[in-house]
Amino acid sequence: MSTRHLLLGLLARGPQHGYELKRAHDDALPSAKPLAFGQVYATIGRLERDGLIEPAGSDRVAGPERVSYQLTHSGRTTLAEWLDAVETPAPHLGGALLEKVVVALLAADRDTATRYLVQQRAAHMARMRELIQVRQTATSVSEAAAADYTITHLDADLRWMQQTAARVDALEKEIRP
Amino acid sequence: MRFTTLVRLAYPGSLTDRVRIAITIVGALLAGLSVLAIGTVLNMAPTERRITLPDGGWSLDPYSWRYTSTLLNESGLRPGLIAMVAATIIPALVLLAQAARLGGPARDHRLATLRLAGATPRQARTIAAASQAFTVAIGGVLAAATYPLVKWLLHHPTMDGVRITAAQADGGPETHPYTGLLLPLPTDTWPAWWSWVVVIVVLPLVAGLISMAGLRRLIKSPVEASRRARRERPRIWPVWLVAAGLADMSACRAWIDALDRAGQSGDRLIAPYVLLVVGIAVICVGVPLSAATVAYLGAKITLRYAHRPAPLIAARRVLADPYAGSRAVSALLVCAVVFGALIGIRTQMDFDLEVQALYGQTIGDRELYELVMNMLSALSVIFIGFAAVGLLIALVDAAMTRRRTEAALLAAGTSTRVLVNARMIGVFLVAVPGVLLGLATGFASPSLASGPQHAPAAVETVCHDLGNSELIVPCTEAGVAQQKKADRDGGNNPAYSWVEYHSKGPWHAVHAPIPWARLGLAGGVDLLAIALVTILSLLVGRRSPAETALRTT
Amino acid sequence: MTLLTGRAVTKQYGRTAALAEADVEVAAGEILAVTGPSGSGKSTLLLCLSGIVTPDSGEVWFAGARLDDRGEAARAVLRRTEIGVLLQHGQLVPELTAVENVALPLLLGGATRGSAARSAEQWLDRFGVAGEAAKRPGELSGGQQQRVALARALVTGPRLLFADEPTGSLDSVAGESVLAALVSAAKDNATAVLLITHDATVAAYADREVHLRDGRVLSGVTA
Repeated sequence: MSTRHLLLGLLARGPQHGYELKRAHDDALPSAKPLAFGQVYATIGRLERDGLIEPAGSDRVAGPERVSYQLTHSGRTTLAEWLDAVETPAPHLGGALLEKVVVALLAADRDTATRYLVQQRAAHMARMRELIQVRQTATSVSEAAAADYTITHLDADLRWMQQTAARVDALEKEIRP
Repeated sequence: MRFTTLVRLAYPGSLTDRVRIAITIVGALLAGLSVLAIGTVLNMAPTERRITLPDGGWSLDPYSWRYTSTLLNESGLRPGLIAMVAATIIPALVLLAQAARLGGPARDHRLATLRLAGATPRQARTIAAASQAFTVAIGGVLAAATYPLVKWLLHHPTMDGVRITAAQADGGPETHPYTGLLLPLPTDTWPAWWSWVVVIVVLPLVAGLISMAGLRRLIKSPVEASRRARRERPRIWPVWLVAAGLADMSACRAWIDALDRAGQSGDRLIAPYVLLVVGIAVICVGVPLSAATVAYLGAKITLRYAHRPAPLIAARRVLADPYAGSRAVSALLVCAVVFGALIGIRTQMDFDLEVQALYGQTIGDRELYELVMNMLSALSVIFIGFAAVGLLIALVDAAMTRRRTEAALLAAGTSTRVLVNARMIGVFLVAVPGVLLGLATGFASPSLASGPQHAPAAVETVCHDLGNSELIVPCTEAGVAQQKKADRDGGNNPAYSWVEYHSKGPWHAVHAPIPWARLGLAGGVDLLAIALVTILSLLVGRRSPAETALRTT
Repeated sequence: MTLLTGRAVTKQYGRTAALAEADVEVAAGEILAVTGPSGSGKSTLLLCLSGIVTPDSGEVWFAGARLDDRGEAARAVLRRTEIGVLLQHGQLVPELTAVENVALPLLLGGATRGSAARSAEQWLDRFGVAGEAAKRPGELSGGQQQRVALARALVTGPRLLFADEPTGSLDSVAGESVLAALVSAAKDNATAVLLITHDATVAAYADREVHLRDGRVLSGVTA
């Protein structure tokens, strides 16, 4: 799902073709599974169909023709909206939080990344409060245990956000040398 | 705060607190007995009275020489007697001071906690002061209760001892020699009324005030006190204090000599002598205070040259808190000063006798001189005993506070041997330079106070035959020596009936030789006491299990 | 209604600025979390606002009156009447029993031992440690110690409770139950709480959160 936004974010730096996009993705998220070429081209196809990117030109250097793409106006708007939206606090958000921070740094700057983290934290805290309320008023142990499960996962996310917020500068230098 | 609350908070009842209370009571009891003894000596009825002789002069009538000892009988010796009895209070005070430090960090922490829980500074001060004052008061009351008993137990009238006959009381027509039973101690006298007040009221009050004064910083803000950065380098001024004391004494010596040469005497000499005594006091204060500075320097040197873990740990500890170690041994450092001073006094007096014997002078009461010297020696032995107990307390206390770190070191694989060595070295790092400094300054003080003796360039002896005192016979060296010994010790069968001494040539200043052997012995005894106490503290410390120290609460 | 206000509170330790013009407000009955990384000045803020430490500059107002310029004695009295303090550990007197520790503020205020002990026992009972009343802190678990400390902080019925990492030395289960006890007791007695924590889960117990970094209160991190 978020591969779309990732590619949009990578294209925010300027026109790139499919191979470059795959390399840039794997460099920015070294811990994530490397993107398959098939997936890159499928995603590019869907983005172009939705009018979010457009071909910027093509070159041929000893091999098949390579088309590079750039963001459309609509693509920029979609990316900005995505960056402004927080993830719904829930267990197993996985790499979604990290991806958003990385894209924010790629497409915009550290202030955008920090603003995102602050907003995400507020969303998590609000959910946390509700869950603590649930746990306090729980009538059964299983209900309390279920709440505890989510609380513990959200707590891990919160901790990660705290650490990442403290390291946004270093992260930006690494991603955009 | 109600009184019951005050008592509860003053006596929270941890183990160290109980030990501290016990030692404080003992210390207060001894101090109380000492004060009552001073009160007794000051309250003694006269033993002599002044009578006017027919020629207009006066003499002393020993109408009430009721004691077995000259020291008690002769009123001229009374100031010395009072000074000696007063000196007995010092070991008791040292013990009290040492006990007050026992469990110091725990007590500070407790008071800080009380402040956090809403105790006002005044309340915290009151609690700390009450704890000390009540305890000392208990000791004082015990002393007051025990004194009559001790007095009764020591009351042994006897027929033996110094008894003055009419013939010995020369001169006066109206002497009334004492004829009753004799007392070895002044058990016929009760302490002066004020000494009871001092023991029961003043001592506890002073103890309370002192413990209050020690808490000022802690009381002001409970948290800031614990946050304050520890001063790393010890202050240098105590060393200057010792130097200033010695300089003052030398200057006074020169002043007195100058007055002597100018033929001045009496009142003019009071000022330099008072300043001389001030110099001695300054040295006594300066030596224990300098110990931290000296130990700090020693630790720096150790750190530079030592490579084994034990000296390194010990040196680091001294550097981290040079005052902790020096406080523990301060009493024994005062001991070193006192020992040095005693040896100095003895050396001076022996030397005086020796020089005077050169030209045939003998002092009157050899026996009294020996008695005073022995009492001073006994006093210093008691003193070193108390100081050793004080050191033991301080070391065990330090070991308790360090238990956690030591347990952590043990857990990290440091051997017990290294830790034990580190503790030994830590104590000696402070003690050895301190003892040397103390002995040296203590010894130098009486030497400076009394100045050099003056001896003639040569003495010519004229010996009178034993059988016929009119007949002059040639002197032999052995014969003169035998005669001198007989004169001094009152032995019989001298070589001659008498010997004349004729001083020849200019008189010159002679200095007493430094008695290295005696000084070495005193220093050795002091250091041995420290070593024994340290070993003893290690044995006591071994019983505290490391596991409990590491358990987090 | 504002109960506590800190205005431009500044405190230096040596050359390190622990607090740099921090502003904070606590409303009556409100639970406010102060979060921030280690060394951000959280504890110093608590010490300054509770009157334990005097700030170098700035003002602290409690219940409509200046607090920071009052004398040590007046502030100590405030600590045993209108302000409660709960720290991470070490605020219990190790030589006193649990019930004596809780009764301490009342005893210092002149209460008789009997009446103070009765109030203390009620609070111990409320926090589920009545059975431990006669034990000394060393014989209690960490969670029990914190409950006893909480009972002591609340025994005088304060209007404001300062809590500095109250669960910092506890495991999550013990910490959760101490926090739950703290929050419910505070709500029941309309006691405002200033809760210092580095832990977001702990901060989630609060009604509101402010963030501290490098001795400054950051705006924008709110619920």
